[in-house]
Amino acid sequence: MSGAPTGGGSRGTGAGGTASPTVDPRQAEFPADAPGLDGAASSAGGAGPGDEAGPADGAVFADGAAPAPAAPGLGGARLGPVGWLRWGWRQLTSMRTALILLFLLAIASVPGSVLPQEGVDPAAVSQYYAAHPSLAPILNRLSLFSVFAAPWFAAIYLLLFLSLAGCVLPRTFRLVGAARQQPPRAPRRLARLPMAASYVTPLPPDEALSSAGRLLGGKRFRLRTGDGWVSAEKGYLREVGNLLFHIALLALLASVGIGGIFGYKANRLLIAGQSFANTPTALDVFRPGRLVSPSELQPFSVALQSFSATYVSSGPQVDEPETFNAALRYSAAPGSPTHGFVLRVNHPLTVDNVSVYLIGHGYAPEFKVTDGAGAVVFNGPVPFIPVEQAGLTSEGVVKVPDAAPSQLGFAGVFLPTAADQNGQLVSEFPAAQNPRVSLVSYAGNLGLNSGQSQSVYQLDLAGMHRLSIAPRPLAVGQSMTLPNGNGKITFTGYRQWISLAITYDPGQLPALISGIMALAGLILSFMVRRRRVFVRATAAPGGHTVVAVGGLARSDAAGGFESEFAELARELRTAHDGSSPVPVPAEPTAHGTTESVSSDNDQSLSIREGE
Amino acid sequence: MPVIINHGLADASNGFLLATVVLYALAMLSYACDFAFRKERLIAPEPAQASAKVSELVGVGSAGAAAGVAAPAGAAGATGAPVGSAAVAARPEGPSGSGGGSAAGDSTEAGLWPTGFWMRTAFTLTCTGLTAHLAAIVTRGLAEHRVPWGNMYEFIAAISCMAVLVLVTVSIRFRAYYIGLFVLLPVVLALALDVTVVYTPAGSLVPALNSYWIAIHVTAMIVASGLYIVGAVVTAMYLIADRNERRTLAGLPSRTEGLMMHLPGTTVLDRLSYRTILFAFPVWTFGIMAGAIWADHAWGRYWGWDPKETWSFITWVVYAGFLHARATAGWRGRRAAYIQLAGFGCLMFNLIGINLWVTGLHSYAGLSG
Amino acid sequence: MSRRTAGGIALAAVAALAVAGCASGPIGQDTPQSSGQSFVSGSGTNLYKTGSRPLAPDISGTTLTGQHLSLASYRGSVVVLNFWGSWCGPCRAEAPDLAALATHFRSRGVRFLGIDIRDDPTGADAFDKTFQVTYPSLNDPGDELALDFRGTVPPAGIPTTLVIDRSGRIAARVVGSVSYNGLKALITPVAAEHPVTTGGAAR
Repeated sequence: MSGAPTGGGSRGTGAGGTASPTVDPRQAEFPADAPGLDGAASSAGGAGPGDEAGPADGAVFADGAAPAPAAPGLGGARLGPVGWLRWGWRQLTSMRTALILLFLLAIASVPGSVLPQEGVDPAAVSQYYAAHPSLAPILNRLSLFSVFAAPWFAAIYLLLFLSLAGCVLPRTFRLVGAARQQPPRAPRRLARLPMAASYVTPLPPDEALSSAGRLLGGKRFRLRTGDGWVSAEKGYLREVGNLLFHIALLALLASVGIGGIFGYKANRLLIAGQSFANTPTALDVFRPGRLVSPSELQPFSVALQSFSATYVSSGPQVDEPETFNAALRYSAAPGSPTHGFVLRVNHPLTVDNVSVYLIGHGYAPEFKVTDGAGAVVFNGPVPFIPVEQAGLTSEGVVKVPDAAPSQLGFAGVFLPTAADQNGQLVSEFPAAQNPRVSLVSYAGNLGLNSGQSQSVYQLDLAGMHRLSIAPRPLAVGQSMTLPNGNGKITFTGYRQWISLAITYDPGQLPALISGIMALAGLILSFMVRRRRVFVRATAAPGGHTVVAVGGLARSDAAGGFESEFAELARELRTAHDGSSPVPVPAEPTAHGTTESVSSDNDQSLSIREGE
Repeated sequence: MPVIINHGLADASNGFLLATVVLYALAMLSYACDFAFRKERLIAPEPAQASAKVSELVGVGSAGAAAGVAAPAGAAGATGAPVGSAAVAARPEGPSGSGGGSAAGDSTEAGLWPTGFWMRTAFTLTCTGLTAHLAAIVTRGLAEHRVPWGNMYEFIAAISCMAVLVLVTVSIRFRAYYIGLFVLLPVVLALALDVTVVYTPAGSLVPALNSYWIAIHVTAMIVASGLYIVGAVVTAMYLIADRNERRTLAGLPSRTEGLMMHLPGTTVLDRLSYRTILFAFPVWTFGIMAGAIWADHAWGRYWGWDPKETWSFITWVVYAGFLHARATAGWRGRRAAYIQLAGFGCLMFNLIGINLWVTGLHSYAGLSG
Repeated sequence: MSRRTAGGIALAAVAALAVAGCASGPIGQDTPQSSGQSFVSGSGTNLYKTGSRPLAPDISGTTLTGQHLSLASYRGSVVVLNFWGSWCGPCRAEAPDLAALATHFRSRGVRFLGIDIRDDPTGADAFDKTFQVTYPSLNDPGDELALDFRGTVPPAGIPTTLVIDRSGRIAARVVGSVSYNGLKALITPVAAEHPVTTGGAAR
């Protein structure tokens, strides 16, 4: 394989197995950012988050990282289709690809937050169309008004999760398989490890080693003994945490998918005094998942008895809402007993695993329309939609399709607390302290009889002509007589309405659990270090034994290993009645400088840990 | 029933915050004076190749036996002093013996306290400022009878407080006093803007925010943001140090040469910034989850691609990319630093830009227009 | 672990992801406000062959004129049940056809019954007068009657028209507005059927 580091030769084949044990100290080492070791390899999925893994790290801590995907066609061998697929798969599951896909995902989300989105605010989208008539259709073609439903967005996150799955699942199996894996053999020269110490003890080597083994074993290290050495390893939970985090992300995606397929969302606007049941004809907006059939909707019903809202009347936060309370009665199914419930923001109603949320409110003025022939052809409330929050000025439309001689339509403005400000009529306060409604009247053909679908909040004026009566604010009880014998409209009163969001999401609980698992895995992988400690005991001339202790950690960025190692060395020395240390044989003259590297900085960083 | 705002306490809060700004500004001056008047180098800058060398026999806890290598007297924080010379067996005295890790007998038995008059002054001023800052937040909360993060003014105050809290913790724990000036700079700027342009008088929460979740979700975001701020500052310092090193190696003059005398090398800065992010990332993840749970309670869905939700997600993804980059050959070092700064940029846009310019369900800035 | 196992696992992962990708719509979206539309403009006709016809629920309610009426009382006649509202455009478009068909089929033992959804009684009355509707309509402001059909053939929106045979079983459903000829073609064969009698006693 190209660029395979010599030290990691045993892994160069990419068999994905464990490293075959060698005694080369470089094998046991955690190599720093040595350019020589980098080679051309990218550590393909070799490490998880929170790791400062070197490329050959896989050689040391054999958790089965796949080595770099080599460029195809190298070495003269031609790749068949299977070979190409394998190469493609390796590319997809490499860390570099994951990085690129992550950034693509982030960049792709940006237009979804800056441009108005269909699913969040369709009115704003229409406004954008009006403001940018030539640009908007182009953006629409690129799905930029529904970014998160766009196929290219789905492609990015699906590819990302595919890459993730392809990397994480095999590693999980490897971890399970390697659960009983032994630590590697101790390197011959422990002095070359990042952390090392040595001392002299009167105990014979075997005793020293066995007591060392007991000590380390007591600290829950996994042990392996050999001729003159003991090797100990700890911290496997790091990989567990890492994999748990990534698998939980997969589970999260699956939960979201399940919720999308088997769940549904709906909206309903309910005027005080009205009730509705959870069936498609009763819902204003119904968005079922792909496998949801209307006959499966939970058949609860909800009646709104009254709604009250209070607002701040003075001070810097005047006009802001203080409390919203919707008094409901609901029953889980026809024939079930009804219960009362006060619905508030942050306090939803849960019926039969379906959640009902209060998300909006407004006013519905009531009108009575008498047509030209004297018959009462309309008598009831019409919901008006607020156009501004401070005073809750609301706009709405009254359609009277059965009036004679011609159909009538009214476009109105409702002012809860009408007041004259500089000649303009505005609403000063959101509570209905002085309600007024002002209507512009039209007659003609509403367009309903032709079968055209219309929003109840919009008037199609194509077939209508405006009546020559000036709009004037009507108080409760007042009427407006329409010209040309078209009748009369009376403002008879007002009610309040609430808008409800109804959601059923069977994937909600699994998503929550996945999220918690992800967090737990993340914290685990950040906190646990994988580390190795080696002990060698050699008999020295003169009857004593030289004990050398060495240690290294897979990733010391979290710090703390130095103090742990120091503590361990001290305990070992005490257990061995170790005495004054002797100079280590001056063999390593090549390394006789006094420069030190990363570990020192770590030590300074972590100097207070463990104290 | 409207909540009665205690205006006396609210005024006290404003006063405390003004005092905080003054104290932090004075601290900044003191930090700068420390840089200006300190004579010794903090540490020999680490040549790039040295990091490639495998470490030698390094004794444990042999700080006391420093063999006279570039000993920074009164080092204000982390030093690169070699922990013992090779060929000399270690004195395994244990970590307590290693004290401050800086050689040549500096007065580190106090541990907590930096050395040098100006640094001590700066740190004292910082801590005093932090106390005033905390007092400002607490009195504001008491005045409003609620958790004091309900609008942009309170939010910026809280985040900057968290950043200084992280600064103080990092300074003590990792002896990284040298980052004080750089962290306080954006903090002072932010607070100055906060008390002038962004100021909002004390008030009560809108009903949508009136839930105990504000103490969970928003607190987590504040904690994570404070950590991210310090991380970004340290990363910026890393990039400056890195550039300085490269230019030094190439024999070119570097404008930041003088500054680098008082900062540790790139490795230390890199590690420090990385550890900050390691801490921040799970907190941010938790904050997003808590926000999703709260959103489900309030709005009926746990994720709706609201602009603020989307940008929190983007920030999360970019920082996740940073963590992955640290583990990918060829992406460590400078590239990872740029990624982290990009993530920080997303965070700033999320906190400020979204509130001011984009309307969504999260529009609680409390600002008009 | 062999490559095949790895491949198999990866394939399973792909399948899991495909599930996520197939969820309708974007991952999690919602509109906070109603769009004001809840009727169906599309069309769709379902026919149910004899032997597999669902039994219509025994609904009863109050008509717009205040009388009490139940579907059971119509047993023995073919019932054309129409869900409508005076505010609904497609319902208004089909109203003349329904009124005409009601008159046409009256002598053949076919009865028409309307269920008025989300309407105020005054407006509904005016609708009846405008289109000269002669058959009664039950008022269903709380959607209870619509809910009664959930186990069988729920109305997917309005207008929806059901053709119920003489034994009280649903023979056909039309979602969307009906045409004169279309509905007539649905009713005629059902009207020609003989009711299934038990014990030989005809009503």
